[in-house]
Amino acid sequence: MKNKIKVLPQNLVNKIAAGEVVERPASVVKELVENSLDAGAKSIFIELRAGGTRLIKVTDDGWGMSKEELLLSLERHSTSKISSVEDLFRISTFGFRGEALPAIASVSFFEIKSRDRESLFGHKVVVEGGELKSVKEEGLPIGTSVELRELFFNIPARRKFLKTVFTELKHCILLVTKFALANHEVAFKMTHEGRTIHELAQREKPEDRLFDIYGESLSQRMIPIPAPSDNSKRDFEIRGYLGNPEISRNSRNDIHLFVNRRQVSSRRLMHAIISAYGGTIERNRFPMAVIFIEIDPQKVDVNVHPTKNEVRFQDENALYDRLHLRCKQALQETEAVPSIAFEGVKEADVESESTQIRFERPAAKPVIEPIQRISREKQSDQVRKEVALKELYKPPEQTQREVERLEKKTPKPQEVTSELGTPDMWQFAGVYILAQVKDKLLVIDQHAAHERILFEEAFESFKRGGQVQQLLFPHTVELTLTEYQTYEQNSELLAKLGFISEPFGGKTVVVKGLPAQRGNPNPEVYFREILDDLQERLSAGEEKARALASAYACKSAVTAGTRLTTEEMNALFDRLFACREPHFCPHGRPTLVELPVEEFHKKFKRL
Amino acid sequence: MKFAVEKEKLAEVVQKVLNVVPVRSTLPVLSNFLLETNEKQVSLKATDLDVSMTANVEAAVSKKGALAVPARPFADLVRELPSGKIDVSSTEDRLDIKCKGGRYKISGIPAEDFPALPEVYMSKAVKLDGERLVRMIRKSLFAVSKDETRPALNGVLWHAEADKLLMVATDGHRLAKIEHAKTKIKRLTNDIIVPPKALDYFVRIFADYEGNIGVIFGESNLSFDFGDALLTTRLLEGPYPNYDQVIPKDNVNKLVVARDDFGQTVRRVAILSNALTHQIKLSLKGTSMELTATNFDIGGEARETLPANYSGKEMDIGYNASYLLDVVKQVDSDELIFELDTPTTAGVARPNRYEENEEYMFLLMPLRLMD
Ligand SMILES: Nc1ncnc2c1ncn2[C@@H]1O[C@H](COP(=O)(O)OP(=O)(O)OP(=O)(O)O)[C@@H](O)[C@H]1O
Ligand SMILES: [Mg+2]
Repeated sequence: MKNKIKVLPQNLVNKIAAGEVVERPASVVKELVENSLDAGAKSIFIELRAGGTRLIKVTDDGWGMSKEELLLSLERHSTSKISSVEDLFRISTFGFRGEALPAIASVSFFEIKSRDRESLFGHKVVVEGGELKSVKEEGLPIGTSVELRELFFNIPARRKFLKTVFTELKHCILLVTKFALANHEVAFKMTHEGRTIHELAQREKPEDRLFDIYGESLSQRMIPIPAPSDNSKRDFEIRGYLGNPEISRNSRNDIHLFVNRRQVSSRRLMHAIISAYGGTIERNRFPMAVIFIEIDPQKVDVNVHPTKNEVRFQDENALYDRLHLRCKQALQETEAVPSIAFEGVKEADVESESTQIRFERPAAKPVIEPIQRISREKQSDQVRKEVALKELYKPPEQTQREVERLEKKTPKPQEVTSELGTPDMWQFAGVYILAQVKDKLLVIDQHAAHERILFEEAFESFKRGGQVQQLLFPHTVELTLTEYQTYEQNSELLAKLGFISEPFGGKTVVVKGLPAQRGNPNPEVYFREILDDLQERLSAGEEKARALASAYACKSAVTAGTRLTTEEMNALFDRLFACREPHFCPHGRPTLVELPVEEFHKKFKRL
Repeated sequence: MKFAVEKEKLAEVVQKVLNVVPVRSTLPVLSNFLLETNEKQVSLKATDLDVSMTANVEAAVSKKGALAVPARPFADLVRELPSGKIDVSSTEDRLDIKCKGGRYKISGIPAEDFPALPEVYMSKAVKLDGERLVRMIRKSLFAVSKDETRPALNGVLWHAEADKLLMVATDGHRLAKIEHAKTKIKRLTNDIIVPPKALDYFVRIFADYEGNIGVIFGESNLSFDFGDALLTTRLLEGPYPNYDQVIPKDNVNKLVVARDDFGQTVRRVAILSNALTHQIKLSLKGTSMELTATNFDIGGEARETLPANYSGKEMDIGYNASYLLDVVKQVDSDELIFELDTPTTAGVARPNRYEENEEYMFLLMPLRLMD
């Protein structure tokens, strides 16, 4: 049957709008905090439960609303922030669409309380799933507080889409962190299930806030972008801080980009920043950066998407070039990045991306096909290993199976080693171990091999507990919020592996013992490396134990270029062949190739 | 520059200073000796910018001057020259060496291009017993951290008060502390951190000397005055971790064991320990202790009992065998004492008797056993 066209009931319109504006708890927090900032708040308190799915409450000390304004604020397209079309092209507030509050109110149990300066009393309005339930007078301080429970209670499909509490919380934390970085003169407090996550006082200078967020050790390694050398008026001003290359990260999460204080995501602008580091940062590592771009509001369009995460610039190329140059200059000034490319190049000469040099390494390809077997091995062993090999290339859902497989009892290692004997070994190019086994030359990639060993050992440790070298001087490590979250979520497995640590208040952790396999690394650096790598793997969807085992293996294995003693090479060799899957590292790269003597005979034309 | 000198005397000095010349250096000038004369002496200088050395030899100087010459060829040559008097003179950029029937020339570089050595105020020297210093250095140096990311731990801490000199070194897993009482240093206003390289040179160079050595505490340098030679090192920057805080004061579980037997057993048992962690387990109970190790990779297992005198609560405690062996090596008494608290906290190792005015101890952090 054909439906008649009809005007949609207001409540349904709001729900549809909610679908655009409100994706997840973090988007609600974003709208509410923006409203508070727009209302001139100097102090904002954010309370969450269950990652914001249970409860989100934002309280501010802004100028508040009268009863009339309060009721109007819940009407769609009512806003105090713009009143004409022209206004739309010079937006200086965060909000302007006038749809956030009604949208949020339509998908939750919603309560808003507010009092403005002129009133002696405040008012409380209760809305349930978009339906106005009550309006009451209440004694309140000046300011506004919005509280909502059970987000998406009336849209089960949405609710299902929400990720784990941990993930939702992570998004909220990242969001508030960005607000805090961009609004240093506003105090922020954030709690989750009553536990304080952020407690940030009002600050005079942006770098004070940077210090609050990243702690001493990291913020000290952030270089301020100096003021431009000439004072000519520009369309945009760029300020901020760049982390020096040694504090590079696993993800882009610590690149914060603000345009007129609005947090924005822009692949292209991020690229301008990252590429300024040239080759000083490895591929797949990202710098830390906090960048503020001030731009004439008329030259930027924030009304691209309801979430206002994206912005469009009138002249993006110019901005790209300028940002890239300023970052490059800042880094060169502190000699963080060698100046190869831009020496003598004046600002005006710099063209877009094309002038950059790319530091790309050719993909490593094994020259010779990895061997599938060691001929001496017993048939049964070989079959087992080939099965294992296939399993390795199954899609990720299979990884749980692999974990279980790995947890099965290891066979008696003597079986393998006694057959191999102890060959002579030497190291080649600081990367490979060469060993003769019967009439074959075995070439082992020391890092990949060690990774495999540690990876399998990690699973043993998860079961039985690893060997721990206790530290004489317990090390306190200040973590970033995301690192801390990762730490908390995985503290049990970390402990099993040998990372003996305790929360030390705030985002600080005290490390008292480390897995003994790693030798004697810098505890802070090692601990952080593991957390960063783990975080990265978890957000890529890897299963917990596997992610930690890989992170541990990757960060603890001997690196290419490390000189090994004969004793160490022997140990590596023995332990590799005691592995269930000696031929591949946890990421599927080969650990060894085998060169039969015939290959040499052919080369030397003996055959 | 022009002087005559005894070959043997010159060779001795050259050999001494050669210690400091870097084998490979990014600064080519550092592979030179600086030759300099005053009225009655020739002085030879070398530096690697961290450590520098000056040594003097008596000579008949007829014309003063200075020239930097490549250290290794010069040293090789001097060593091979026939004994007796040799005549050395220099032009602007050449050194001319004459001996009985021989004549050798080496190109040098102007003295101005040689880096200036730090100034040392010899008058502030304190006399210290050289043998004692060597002992203290030996007993602490092994525990210095090699991790370059923690620069303060890359040196030996010197602390002095009440006529007592104290040296401490740690790598975060173990710590060595040795003190020498009744020295001539009353007190050091600031603790200093001395890089191991200089201490290593000191031990090597002192082999040719005996008795007291002048020690000069400069603002950012430390110097050793051997009389005819002066070794100076740059100091490392702190802060040094608060070592006193981590030294347990009341570890009540006490183990006494014969040092040599213990050392030999540890060495044997360690062969079958985990190849990376070298973990060995001490099981302590009554009048004997058991040492065990396992190496799953090669299916190895070791177990040995050793007579010992233990008073304290029964416990199993794990250690890195190589750390234990380092301690055994440094303890000179026939018995070794361990004072322990728990299997996860710092244990103290010390000899059962000390030499006069000397005291030392080692801290070891356990390598926790798998549950
Ligand atoms: N915390 C607050 N303090 C004072 N006034 C507020 C607060 N929150 C909302 N308001 C008022 O309610 C109006 C509606 O808010 P709402 O977030 O729905 O729209 P907006 O901020 O104008 O635009 P957008 O939909 O783009 O966020 C605002 O224009 C403002 O006048
Ligand atoms: Mg708004």
